[in-house]
Amino acid sequence: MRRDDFNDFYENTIKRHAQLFLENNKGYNFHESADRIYEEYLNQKTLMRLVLEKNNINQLLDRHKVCAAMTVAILKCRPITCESINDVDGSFKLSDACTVNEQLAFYCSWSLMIGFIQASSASTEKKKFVLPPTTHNDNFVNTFTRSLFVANVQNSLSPELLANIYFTLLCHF
Amino acid sequence: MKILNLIKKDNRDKCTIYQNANNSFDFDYSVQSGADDNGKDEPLFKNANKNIDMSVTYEMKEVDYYA
Repeated sequence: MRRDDFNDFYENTIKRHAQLFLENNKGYNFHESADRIYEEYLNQKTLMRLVLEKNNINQLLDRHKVCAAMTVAILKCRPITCESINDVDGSFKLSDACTVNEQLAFYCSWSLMIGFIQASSASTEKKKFVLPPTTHNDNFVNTFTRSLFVANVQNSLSPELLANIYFTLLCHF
Repeated sequence: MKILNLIKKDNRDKCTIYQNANNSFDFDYSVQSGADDNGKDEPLFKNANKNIDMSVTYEMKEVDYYA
């Protein structure tokens, strides 16, 4: 993804979703992070090429891998911060944390994925993309974003695993 | 990105593609909490694996679109 392509994505998707999070929730701030997210995206994309041995630079990465790299990049850069976060006498718990950056990372990457699908087929332009149901007591988005949160806290984020999840989601439609 | 070639082919600009994509899913902007108190998310994922339908399989195939 060239820088001007990323800038379009940043302005039209990342900032848009971030703005809607701020409008719907008090006490959060968005920090301009285009440089940081783009640099981290390039790191993740390049690492994925090395791990998956995609050595042919003329062959671009699959869209689900691009979305996975973007998810990790946004998640690691954490462009939204919470004003009220504090640790008084060691009382901070994981349940006090919020997953707003994980939600933002998934929303932006999912938008990117839908953009790829719609760009490849004009017939999907009016389609509503509904994620698969879950078999437990929370929906897909909450389950996925909370899993991202726990994975990040445990330093166990895997772009390759995320790419497989996005590929499976692609198969769902 | 190949997506841009595809977009150019049907005369849609990038902003339109992203805006359509943003509107094609019902995003919920209420912020969720990080985890349960013991950090294991047991209430959320309780019995999740037991209920997974393992008979569903997906065929891995060559993907046509790259980015």
